[in-house]
Amino acid sequence: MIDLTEIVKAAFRFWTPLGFAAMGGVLSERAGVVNIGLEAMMLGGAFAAAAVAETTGNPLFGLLAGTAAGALIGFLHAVLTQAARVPHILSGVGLNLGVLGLTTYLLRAFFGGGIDTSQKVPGEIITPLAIFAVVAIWFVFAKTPLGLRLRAVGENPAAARSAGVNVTRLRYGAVTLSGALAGLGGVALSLAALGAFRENMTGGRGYIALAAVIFGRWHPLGAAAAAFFFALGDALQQALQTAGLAETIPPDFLTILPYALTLVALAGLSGKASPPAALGNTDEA
Amino acid sequence: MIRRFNAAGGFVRALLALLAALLVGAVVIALAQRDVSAPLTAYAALLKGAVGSAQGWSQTLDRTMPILLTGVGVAVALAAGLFNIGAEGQLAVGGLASAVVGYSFPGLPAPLLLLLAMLAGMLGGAAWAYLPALLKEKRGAHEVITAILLNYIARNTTKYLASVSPPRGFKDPTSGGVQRTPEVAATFPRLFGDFDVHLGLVVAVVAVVAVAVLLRRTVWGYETRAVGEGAGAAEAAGIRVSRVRIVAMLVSGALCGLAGAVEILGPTRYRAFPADFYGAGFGFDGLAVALLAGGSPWAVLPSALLFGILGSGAEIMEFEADTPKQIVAVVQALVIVAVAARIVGRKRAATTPAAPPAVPPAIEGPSKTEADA
Repeated sequence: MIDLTEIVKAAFRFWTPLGFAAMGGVLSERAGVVNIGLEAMMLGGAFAAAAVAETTGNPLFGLLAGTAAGALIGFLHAVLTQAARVPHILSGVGLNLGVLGLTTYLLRAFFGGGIDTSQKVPGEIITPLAIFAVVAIWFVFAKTPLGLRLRAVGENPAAARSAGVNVTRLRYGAVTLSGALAGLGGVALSLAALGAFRENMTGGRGYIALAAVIFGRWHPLGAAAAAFFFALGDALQQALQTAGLAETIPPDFLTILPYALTLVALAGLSGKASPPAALGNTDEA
Repeated sequence: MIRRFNAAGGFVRALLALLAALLVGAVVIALAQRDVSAPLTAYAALLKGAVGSAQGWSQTLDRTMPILLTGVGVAVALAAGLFNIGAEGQLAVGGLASAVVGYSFPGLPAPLLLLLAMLAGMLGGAAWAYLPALLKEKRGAHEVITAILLNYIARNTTKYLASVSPPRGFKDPTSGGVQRTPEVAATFPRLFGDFDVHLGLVVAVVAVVAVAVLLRRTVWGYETRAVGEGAGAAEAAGIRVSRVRIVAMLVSGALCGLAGAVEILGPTRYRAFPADFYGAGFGFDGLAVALLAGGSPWAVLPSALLFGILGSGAEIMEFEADTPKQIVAVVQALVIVAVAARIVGRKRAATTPAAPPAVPPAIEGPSKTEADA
């Protein structure tokens, strides 16, 4: 039988990595930097967390390493888009390709193709942390002068600059922190549920998180809710599979469910989505 | 003359980017294997494997073939200011469509059957690309997000269809545990003796040249580029932006679908559509190749060849030098990012006439579309 509490529990488990990454996406995009590189930041975070937790035998070090790895990749994205003026999508795609290659390379060179670790960060800790991140990001954008400046940087960098805001510094900070958040999403993926890292472990969750950001109209709470919508779809399809519905509906189609639901929702609701006006701008403000 | 100078500058830049990327890759290899000579051994094995023999060249060109098509496909979309991240899904759908046609009509003469199968592949890819294009124009949904979602849907749907026997799917009932469609009734002839490289390569090169010429010399090409340069100005000039964008995505999807078809219809690698066809990576390679080419169809030729060399050499390198082949993905990523990096500095970029941007301006943010609408 299908147990509703189990589905909700599973949904929160699936949501945690997505929620973190989606908050990273909101932070970066509201500051005007397209972040399709969330995937790379999650994957780098997941790998560093598992590698360090297993090597040091301490899950806390793993958590810190995962966050730091995500932040480092985020910083790289900031350098590429702000200093080197690489188009944001191109930088993100490059990071995704490169980090996938690098983590797989290191995984095979040092860990024999897979990491399994008993040094886990329990979901009871990391899921509340993700909820806290949502509230914190919402609070910063809605209630603080910093949030106002960040929004100004994303909407009209030229005006922000003439009002004395250091656009470049704020963007560096936002994108680096965005990477740290996505890195935490990676930690939730490798150290919370499974205690393992495998090649291409994120499997596109960074893209889904970005979809949630857009679906949630660049609003922290909206993005978090959109990510939960996807996670619920995923939990539902897994419950349906274990409930033996696979006899009537093929598992391949059940796996499609969260993607299809998100697609339908995007098609039905995104008519008037308005991204930050200067999103993706590589020109001098 | 000016254009030629720019092209030469772009070439030098790409070469420098490649060298820098190889250098960084070498540092990673040397650190990981704790051996300063390891990078040299690895790169030598790569180069020797990819272009050191006729057999190597054949494998390299065979690998370049699908990337040429996905690369030029993504480049067409880029020219119109769209980022077709759905290439991988369109390739899978096109591959399945071509396989189904390829085995369904065994009575037809081989050339006609191949032609029909290619056409089916193009239609399949175009249909899959039509969805994000339509959702963008009608509903304002960003094409990158919808295409990513459609990639997953393509992966699972093609997997399902290739693993279930008729009437629900297309699996070969006689293939037992092997999940694939029946073999196609005709395959492309090989070009040179027993070597893998086949007529599909010619198809791919012709497609790249055709797109390059059409994009430069026809009204369609002019309108497509105008939309890519700035949708607002194009609209003001009387161009139907929405229609141009949809056509660009259809052409892009058709080329990616054709890439799937030439893979399936080759004499050695596939011959039938396997359930795990999605994810071979030729679609994502196409994205990287198009970005490396700066959206220029002509530059897709050398860019795809570079990716073909790195891709086919990587396998040999892993085998001969014991270096995991994924280091090549790192090098490829560094190349595309380095090529686009404007390291010259802001002031110069602002005062001198701007070099052609690596990617049409309209691609840089999803905001532009909504602003134009």
